[in-house]
Amino acid sequence: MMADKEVVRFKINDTEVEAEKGMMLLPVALEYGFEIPHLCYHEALSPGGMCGLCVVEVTKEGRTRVAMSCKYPVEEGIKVATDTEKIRQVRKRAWEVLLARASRSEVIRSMAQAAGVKETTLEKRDDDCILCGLCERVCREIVGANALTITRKGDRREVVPNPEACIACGACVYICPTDCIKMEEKGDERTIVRWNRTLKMQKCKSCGRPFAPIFQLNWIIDKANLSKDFYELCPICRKSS
Amino acid sequence: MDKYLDRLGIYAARLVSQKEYFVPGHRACQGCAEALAVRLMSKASRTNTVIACATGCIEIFSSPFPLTSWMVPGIHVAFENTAAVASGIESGLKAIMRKGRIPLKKINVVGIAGDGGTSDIGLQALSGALERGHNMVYVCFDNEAYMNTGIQRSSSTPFGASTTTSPAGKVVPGQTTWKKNMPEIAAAHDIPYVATACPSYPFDLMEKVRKAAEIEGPAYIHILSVCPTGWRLPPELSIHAGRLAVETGVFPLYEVERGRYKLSIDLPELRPVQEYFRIQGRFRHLTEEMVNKIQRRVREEYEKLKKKVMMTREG
Amino acid sequence: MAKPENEITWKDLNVGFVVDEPGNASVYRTGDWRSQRPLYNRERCIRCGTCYIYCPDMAIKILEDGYIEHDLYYCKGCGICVQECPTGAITMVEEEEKDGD
Repeated sequence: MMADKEVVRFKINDTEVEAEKGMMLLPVALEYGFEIPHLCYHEALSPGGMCGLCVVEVTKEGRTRVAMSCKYPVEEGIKVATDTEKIRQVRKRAWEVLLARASRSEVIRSMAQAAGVKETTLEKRDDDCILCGLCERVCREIVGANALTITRKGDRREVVPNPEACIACGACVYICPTDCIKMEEKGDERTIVRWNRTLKMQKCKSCGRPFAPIFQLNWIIDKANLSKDFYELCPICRKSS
Repeated sequence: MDKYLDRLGIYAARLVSQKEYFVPGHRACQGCAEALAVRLMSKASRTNTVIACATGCIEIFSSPFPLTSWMVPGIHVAFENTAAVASGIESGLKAIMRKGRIPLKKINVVGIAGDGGTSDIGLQALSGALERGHNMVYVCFDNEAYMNTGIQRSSSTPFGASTTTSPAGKVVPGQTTWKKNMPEIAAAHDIPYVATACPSYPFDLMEKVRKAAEIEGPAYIHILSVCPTGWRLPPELSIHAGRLAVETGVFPLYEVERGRYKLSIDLPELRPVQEYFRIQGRFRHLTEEMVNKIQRRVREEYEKLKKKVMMTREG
Repeated sequence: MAKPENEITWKDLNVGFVVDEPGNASVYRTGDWRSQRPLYNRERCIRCGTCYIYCPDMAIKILEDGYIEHDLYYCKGCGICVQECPTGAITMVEEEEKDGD
């Protein structure tokens, strides 16, 4: 059922492990039950490398260096260490960066505290977004609406919405690790609060209930080549008819 | 409610892990929503889990000896003692961890039973386990009758439903008692977490299982499992029926976190219950009078629930 | 992997009803139960994953590019994916009569 892929053997914390060639270290380690903290990694998306928490020490051919495990492909014979003194220092610094980026986030504050980091001396951003980029990646790679961009200008990184493109599907709301993207529904309008995107919802012709944003439905009709009146009824009334 | 988990109609399903902790090859009927519920629960609780499963549909279809669909360790228990065995597992694990025989690790102990094995014969053991405060999750998969043995009524069978032991006839029209409110009974034990869920709202269900597993102390989840075989509806409408059950108010989705009630889905207006009954053969005999009676009671119960939400609100 | 059911004898069974192979039910072909099979229209698929999440038999796989594939070894033909697909990209057709296997 599965094509035979080349298997690579190496060690994590002195345990022999094996993985398919092409996989990154982080998912393999998590699969084996090793605990490596991570915030910007999601198995359905390309690696982020933005939170800095998944760092490990990789020893290859005698040389050891610190690497982000979400972006390091598995290699034959390497030795990976997930919890050395150096790693603990690097992770502490990563938490301080996150605390500075999302100084308003309660979620980050409690996570950092659990990891032993209580404050940061870096310049604080008045925000609760950690700039992990998961929202941008899900919107581009999975949804295909491309409604978010990360602008990179030195130390001023921001996730910027492209409001005309957002279909208010809620994928970014679901994936955000700090819960800073909120969705609200009032009457027949849905708003993705952080991107300031309010869309009018389609009302079902039968029961009258608003069920999805009109813009989103038209976007789907376009993509799947459906008839213009395909979504006249809400999913429940459509099945009952 | 903040994430509107019930509104994620598209794309969020791509963000769910592709790894299955409940493998195909199980013997559930076509379209069995209970199998789907077990699949979703397993996705949320993953590998650090021990299952105690009572006799019932799940036990039969998931593990016909010597085959099993489970990817986690478990034990098949007698019909009535899911909660008792789950308590034993939890205490046993605690003891051997304390003695250093196995490394300290968070292990989810999950007791699974059907509605018969929970609200009927399993009630004593459940009450004891909840009172003792074990750190476990108890999940009741409610398909509203003793389905495994051929659709006999239980205390969870809804009023008016026709089963083989509460048949709809000329004198007595199906079940004559109202469905036993198990989530309320669990909440009355003052446990930290109680929730109702339905696999027609998969993200909501997975989130609740995750929460229940994380919380210290006993947690109770009541899952409505649509049974196309027993409820007499076409298998492709299982998910649709679950949605109707929630949107008509017949099975409201809510959580009780340390006494605070919280609705999981915002329903400004309930759909008429007739929409839900119309697609099921077990309600085919209902007269207009009965439907109105049920509609009134469903509305009342929902209003009561809304009042509890208001009363227990913080601040 | 366990032996197919019709080849297991009492000598292969563990004492005490112990099952020591997790997930060995995957040898069982529930696809034989079908009387109708799903037909997938790739053009209509918006790669949302809804069919994948609602399949009670885990018989739908999401491929690398986001499109899906039915696993006919397990698919029981219940039709839930047909009902739940938001664009109607899946339809049910009659299962053909098969001689032999």
